[in-house]
Amino acid sequence: MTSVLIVDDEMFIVELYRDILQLRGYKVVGTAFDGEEALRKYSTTSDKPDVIIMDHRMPVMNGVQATKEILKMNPKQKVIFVSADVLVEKEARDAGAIEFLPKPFRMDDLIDKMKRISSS
Amino acid sequence: MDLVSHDMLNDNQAVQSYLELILAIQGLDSRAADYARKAVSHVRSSTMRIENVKTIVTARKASAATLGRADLAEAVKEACDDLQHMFPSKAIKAKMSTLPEGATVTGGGLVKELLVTVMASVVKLDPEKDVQLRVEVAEEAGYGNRGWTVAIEDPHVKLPAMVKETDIDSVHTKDSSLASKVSGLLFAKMAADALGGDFDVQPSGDGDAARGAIFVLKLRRAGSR
Repeated sequence: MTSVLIVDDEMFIVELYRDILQLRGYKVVGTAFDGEEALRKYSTTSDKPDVIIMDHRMPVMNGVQATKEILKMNPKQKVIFVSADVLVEKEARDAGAIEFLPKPFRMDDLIDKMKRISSS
Repeated sequence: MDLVSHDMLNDNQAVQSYLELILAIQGLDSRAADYARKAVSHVRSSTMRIENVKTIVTARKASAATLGRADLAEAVKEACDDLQHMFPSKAIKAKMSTLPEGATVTGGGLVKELLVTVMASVVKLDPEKDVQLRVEVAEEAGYGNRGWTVAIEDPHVKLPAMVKETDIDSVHTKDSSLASKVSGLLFAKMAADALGGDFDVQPSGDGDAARGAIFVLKLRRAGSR
């Protein structure tokens, strides 16, 4: 079962991702509400998630910065960047995000990207 | 504006996704499913308007380098795909000309949004349930060779008479109630201008009864000045 870490500063968005992913058979192994918390959780867990769903605009540390730091620790980590800021796509991809999904997205679009990167 | 729209988009994301989760329930009552589909369509429309306002603000203050570039063929294809999801009660067929490879324009992710908005405006103005669009992408020679045009033709679209008689960007000064019905076209004009391009509507005939029009979007070639 593909495991996922969700990083977003909005509690209701985190819950939404959890609802969607669990319904479609994914295992949510952790959540973080800013980039720094994501780094802390990522670095201290031995069981790394298969995929990280990363928001951009978050307090303390944004998603681009957090993605860069996580990929320094593990260059093979797969990150799906999800943001309402379409202009951040290039920055996110340059930071190493494997996919970019603009908000609001259709549920099937998220699942398609999950399937694609889970099987790659 | 940026912060408020960001939060509104998050709210719309949640509403849309929960409606999609409801629609995914096995054995859902058909009337409930129909209502949910209509609600999804309206959330997407609301989202488009929020994004339109954001785009105008962004495009007006950003440089071409900040905006980035977009692959026009890819943006047209994605916009056509999105369109059907926005209007679940209509059957939309978009017949595309051969899309040119390597056609890049200024605007990054805003280009697809602009295309979706124009196409959605056309569909809203078409009273038919079966909507047939013809989309042509071509190099714009008469535009100082600086860009590409995307021409979207709908033979059944019903343009308000005022749109036929007045330039699209001055419709709101004539009748604001009418302007609200063509706000997507107004947005297209403002956004295209801000991206260094243009937008125009060419009606097929005069008078209220005449139907059909071509919606022409001109976009600046990436890297041109």
